[in-house]
Amino acid sequence: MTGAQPRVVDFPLRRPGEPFPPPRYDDYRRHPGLVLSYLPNGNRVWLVTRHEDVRAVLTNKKISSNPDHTGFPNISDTMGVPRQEQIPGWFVGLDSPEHDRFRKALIPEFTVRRVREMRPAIERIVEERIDALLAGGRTADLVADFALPVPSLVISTLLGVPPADREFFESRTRTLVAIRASTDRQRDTATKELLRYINRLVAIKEKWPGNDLISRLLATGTLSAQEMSGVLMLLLIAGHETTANNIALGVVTLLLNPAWVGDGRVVEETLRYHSVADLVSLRVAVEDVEVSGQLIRAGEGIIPLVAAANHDAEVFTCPHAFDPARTERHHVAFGYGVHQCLGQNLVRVEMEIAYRRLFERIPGLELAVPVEELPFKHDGVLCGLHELPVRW
Amino acid sequence: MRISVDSDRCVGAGQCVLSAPEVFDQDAEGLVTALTFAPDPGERDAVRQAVELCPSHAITVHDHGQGHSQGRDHDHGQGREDGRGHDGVVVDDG
Ligand code: HEM
Repeated sequence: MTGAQPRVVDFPLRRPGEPFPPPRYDDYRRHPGLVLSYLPNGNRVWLVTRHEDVRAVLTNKKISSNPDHTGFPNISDTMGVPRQEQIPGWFVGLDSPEHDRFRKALIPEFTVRRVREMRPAIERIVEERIDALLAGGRTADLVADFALPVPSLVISTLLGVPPADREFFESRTRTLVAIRASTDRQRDTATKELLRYINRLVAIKEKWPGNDLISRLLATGTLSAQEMSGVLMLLLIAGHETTANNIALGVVTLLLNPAWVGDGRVVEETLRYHSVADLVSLRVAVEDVEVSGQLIRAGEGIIPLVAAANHDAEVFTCPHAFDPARTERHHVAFGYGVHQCLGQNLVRVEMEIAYRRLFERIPGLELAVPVEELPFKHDGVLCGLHELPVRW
Repeated sequence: MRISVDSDRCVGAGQCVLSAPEVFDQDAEGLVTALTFAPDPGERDAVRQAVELCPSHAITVHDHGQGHSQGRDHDHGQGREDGRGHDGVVVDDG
């Protein structure tokens, strides 16, 4: 069964629709089967848009996360982001069982309980950033001054970066993420500096273990030094811009829907509604496999579009409405299957504190430009804003 | 309602603990462990949600009369919104 003739769309994807309400793929989703696209190198890539199909792809053993397989859709090449080298310890790019060794070593660091213990530290980080906003006048760019530093500082706390080095750490991670504000060369330098810093930090923790993730991971004795730095770089990169973009988009959505300010349920709904990790879960078929009645050949790429799945009307009532009271909770903003986001509980706590304290402490917060003029990352791997000018 | 959990399948996402903290916990390794294998009827919806959210199908519900259901398989297809439809509970979509 190969279904109807597949619909073919251009790549790179420019997300259809305006960001508020967020990009949607209703049109793709209505087409039976899957939507086909071609990467600039001529490789075929199948776009998956229905919730059920996305979950099926993300749990199918014939479908791989490993970029070393021929046909893997390295979309970052086409989107101005340098290809992630397959470095040891970069386990988001490994399949089970290789993947599981790394994941198992890290799970204890991200339990619901452990994340709860981090709450006071996260609160302190958020308070300090808001102090800095208020001290800086009555306008700010909430991306550069809040949304980016908060997750970076949280990760540095998680890893056990000494307070004196957090400034360095934060500035380098920001350079990595700020596609517009930094050049390729600056990003390259920042990556090298971070890697060197991380390796030094690991060496220090080896000698003088502390009460932190790196020390505990070292104590398990399961990772080589090289794998260790790969794992730490992954945590750093996976947890930074994703969280920042979600915070920035979430703040705008709350400014547009002020009735929901202060309601804890907004966290889950901003995750679903904005689905920032839209082009993050990339896959390749390693055997012929059928999805949604469409035959996918071994070596063809597959992109489950989580933003599309999370706006599937078969699953979410009025999917384009921002409705924190909705009862359907099974969005795939963090993916699905064995790679489902390891940092998800950390993110939930971080966003809950960030939204709540920002609006409590700056009740007069408003956009400094009309919403249509906000610079949206229309063709980035992640959905987000380049800048978020606000005033109060 | 009776449940079982499979820590070999577990990927430590923690969704069950958030959904039904009276029924599920994470052990020292961060993997799923059941606090009870026969949850109170009042926990039914919470357990259903945990099953629905679990990304690795590590929770199984052995329901009276409904046979055996693992992962999301039990509510595949129609009316899958956290399975509440089965119990005639009105789902308020706001
Ligand atoms: C709003 C914020 C975030 C979103 C939307 C998000 C989204 C995702 C998604 C969709 C995946 C699955 C990738 C795939 O299937 O290939 C993933 C994996 C991952 N995320 Fe997140 N993430 C966020 C924040 C974080 C944070 C804060 C951390 C850690 C500090 C983190 C660490 C990871 C790791 C380590 C993986 C790989 C897990 C594995 O392969 O087993 N993420 N994330």
